[in-house]
Amino acid sequence: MNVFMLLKRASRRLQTPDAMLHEQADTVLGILRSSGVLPYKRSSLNGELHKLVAAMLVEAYDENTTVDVVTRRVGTFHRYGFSTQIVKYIDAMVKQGFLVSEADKAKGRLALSDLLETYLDEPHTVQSIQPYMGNRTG
Amino acid sequence: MQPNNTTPFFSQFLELKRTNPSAYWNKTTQAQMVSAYKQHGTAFFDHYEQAQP
Repeated sequence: MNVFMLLKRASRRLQTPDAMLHEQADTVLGILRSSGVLPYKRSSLNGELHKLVAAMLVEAYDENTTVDVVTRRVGTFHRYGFSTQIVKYIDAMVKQGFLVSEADKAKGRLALSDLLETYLDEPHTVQSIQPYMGNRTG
Repeated sequence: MQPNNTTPFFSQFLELKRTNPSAYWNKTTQAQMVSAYKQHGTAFFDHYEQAQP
């Protein structure tokens, strides 16, 4: 699915008290921050953006689809209302192997890695789910 | 730096998130996660490692 559509859908879902989505996105966020894909040092400023990027991956998982990056132009991301940092983040995900690309960068159809799918598959990510009451992401 | 037995794994941080979310999200803990990943490498994600055949 087109990356902009995934981002739009993820953004919409994050506005809801979808406890499963929030729990899974937080787990992915932990993976991405631990590995340095997303910086934690300015997380208070970029927490919402980071959570959106994580939720985009959850959305791709839920829809059993790839993340299709049809353009790398930051201007296009800006035009659709998304941060121009997202291309950089997706590049880092490809570089670290969290997204699998035929190229060595964020271009074309990107599949979720086995590692991400394992964490999204497993009930340990949902065992502690309680009604979502808001959360800190940074 | 070589991995060692005292460096926590991702599952331990997830457990902290469950028991004490505010501690999990603070910058010190987030920095510890980055440091632990650097030490363990991919093995940091212990649940994934254990799921491998």
